[in-house]
Amino acid sequence: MTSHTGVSRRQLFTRAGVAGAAIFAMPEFSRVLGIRQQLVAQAQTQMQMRTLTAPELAALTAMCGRIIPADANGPGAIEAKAPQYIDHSLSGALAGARQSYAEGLAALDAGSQQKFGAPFVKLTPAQQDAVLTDIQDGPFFNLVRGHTLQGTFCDPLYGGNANFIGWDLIGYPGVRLNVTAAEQNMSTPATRNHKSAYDYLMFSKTETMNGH
Amino acid sequence: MATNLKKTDVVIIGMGAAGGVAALPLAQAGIEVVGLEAGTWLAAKDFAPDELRNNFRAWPQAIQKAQNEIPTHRPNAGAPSSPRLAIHPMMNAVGGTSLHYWAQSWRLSPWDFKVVSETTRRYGASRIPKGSTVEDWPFGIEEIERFYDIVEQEIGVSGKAGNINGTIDPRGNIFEAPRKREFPMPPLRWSEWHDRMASAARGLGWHPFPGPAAINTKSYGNRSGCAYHGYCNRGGCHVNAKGSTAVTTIPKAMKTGKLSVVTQASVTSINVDGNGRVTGVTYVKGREEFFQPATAVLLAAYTYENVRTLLLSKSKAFPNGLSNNHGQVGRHYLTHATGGGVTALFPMKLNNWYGLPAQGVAVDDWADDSFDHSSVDFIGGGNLFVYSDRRPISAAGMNTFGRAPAWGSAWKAFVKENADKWHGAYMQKTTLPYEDNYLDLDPEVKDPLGLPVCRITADFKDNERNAATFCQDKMEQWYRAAGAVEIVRGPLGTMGPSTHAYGGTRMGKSAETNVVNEWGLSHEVPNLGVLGASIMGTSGAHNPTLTVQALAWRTAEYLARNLNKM
Repeated sequence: MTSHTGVSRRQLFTRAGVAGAAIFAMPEFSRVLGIRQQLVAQAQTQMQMRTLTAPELAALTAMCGRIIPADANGPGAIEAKAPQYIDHSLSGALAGARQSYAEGLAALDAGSQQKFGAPFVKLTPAQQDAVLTDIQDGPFFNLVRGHTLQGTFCDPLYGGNANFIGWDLIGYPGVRLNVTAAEQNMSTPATRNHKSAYDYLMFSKTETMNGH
Repeated sequence: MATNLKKTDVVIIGMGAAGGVAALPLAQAGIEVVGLEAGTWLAAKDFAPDELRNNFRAWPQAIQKAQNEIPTHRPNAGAPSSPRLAIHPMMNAVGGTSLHYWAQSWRLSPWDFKVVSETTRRYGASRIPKGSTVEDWPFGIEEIERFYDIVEQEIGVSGKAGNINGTIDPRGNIFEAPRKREFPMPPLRWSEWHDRMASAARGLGWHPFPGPAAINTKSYGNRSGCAYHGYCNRGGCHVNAKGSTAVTTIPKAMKTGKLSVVTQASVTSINVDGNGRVTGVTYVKGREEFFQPATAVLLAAYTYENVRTLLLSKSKAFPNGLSNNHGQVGRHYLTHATGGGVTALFPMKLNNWYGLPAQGVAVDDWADDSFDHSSVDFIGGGNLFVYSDRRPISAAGMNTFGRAPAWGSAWKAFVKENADKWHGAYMQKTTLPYEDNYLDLDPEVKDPLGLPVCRITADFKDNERNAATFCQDKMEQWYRAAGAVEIVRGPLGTMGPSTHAYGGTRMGKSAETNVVNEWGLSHEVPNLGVLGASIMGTSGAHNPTLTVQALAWRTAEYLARNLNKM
């Protein structure tokens, strides 16, 4: 499959349009060059986009790693890049949850300090599990759990489910645009194809803003 | 100041499942129609098979009008508001929610039209639940058979008839009312999973059959057959196999040259003159306001928006909202009881990764009045439906049936083993209207234009709860007969925003208890009609859309015949 940066051509175009308007007064050559430079810079920013602070991302990564750990059953949420999915989605479709993450991750560290005398990332896996067990029925844990599932099992377009780790784990054979009767039968299931929706070029990658 | 546009014959507010159908008989009769639609045109490229976008992020819809108007809900007038939904169940676009619905296209049962008289005749008047405002419809199912048939042909419905002119065919639904002819197309195929469930039902002495769907099973018109790709649930169709009005009746109406569709038009009020007759519609497009004069107006938004638009359209003649001088706008609200599900774990993989929610096995033995209610504590019943539909995020979010924790290595091992071994049934149960279940305007919550959103005050009652428990028992029996090893039952839930919302502008003979008459036209405003499930007074046990569309065609046909008298 092609590599997905999380930035669609349409997004780039839209953002370049805004930048283009700002430098419209420049002479033509400089203007074109300016747009090109802006485009490159924005693409790089988008690819490296961080919403969370470095300590927040580290704590979130550790948390995702306990929710879906790498173990005898294969790689987990960290390897699927679920933390990165959450991080950049918090500047887009999941922006409404940014404050909950700030508060929840701070509380996670406070709870870790109280219980074991160190921040969450410094704890052993068993200690981390004990801290998470204390909060597993609360809203923050379930928010992160839901987003970790999204980041592990979503279409790779969004930066999660890297290398189809999530889909392989549960046996989803991949996106097909036409499914035969045999491929729907219990005795003759479809073979794994490692296809994203966007490997089929007919679909546009329109950004969506309302998430939960 | 609104820009005045040239007068037209009929304005339809909303080019969705209902308005999109109504446009066709009007246009074919040579009547000039302006269709106002809040959304935009969408096409195959907009319908990526993408679970995150479709099922978690309110896509597909480029214009999120409904999304900014999510109704609030409280179970009763004394209760605090329930948490507000994150995503509106309906969408804005040409074709409306018929773009991303499941496309189950059912006719109702004869009993649904005569709940009061038939229940009284068979079991006595005391069996009508206390506090219910249910009435018989102004006509029986015979009256709309012709319109069901027309719409099935126009949008393309696949299925297997169980009763053609009284001749019963056990391959179809033996409980259905007589239909004049077979479906336009054969039903969606069954997989080994479907065969297994159908055999189990037959073993119980029940009568399973393939559910009807507005989905092509072969090339129909200029549209291809279903590709079974697995993203039909809240997803648009990339091959136009789904019979959305955007690819059926609307383009056909436009070809007559009589329908013009105005997109991104948000209607803010329906206007009336001093005599209480509708003069036209005011809408906002971009930052501009327009007034579209018309001889007649058909209000064809969704239930919540139909009610809200009427309540917001206040005038000297209608100080409490348009067509509301009898205080009936917003009354008799109900949502289909589709909660109270049953989820089963099987010992083998079901291979449900592909398919679509309409590709299913239905059982109507426990629906409506298919069975004797003498010894049960409710009237009505439920349609039981199992199908093939599974996507990765929701599959991993499965119930763990008490066999594993919700996270960690043990959870991961469990979902690795079981993600394709579970199934959740869809059961639609009879729901009745009650005195204290209603819609009005929220006193606090507003949309971006500063207009109040719709407020739902409603809760299920004993009849719905008892019917739900009964159906759960039957569903558990069915799953166990098919080999299920674990069963979990879900709660019935609330009567908050739903894809199956009825009432609010109910149809009936009496103006004292209904907003529209037997033709779907307002009792109080002669040149105003209302389309949609908001005119339906009972839910039955089946999806509303085909009935909504049959009624829309009927109202439009009546309007076409009588427009010169308006």
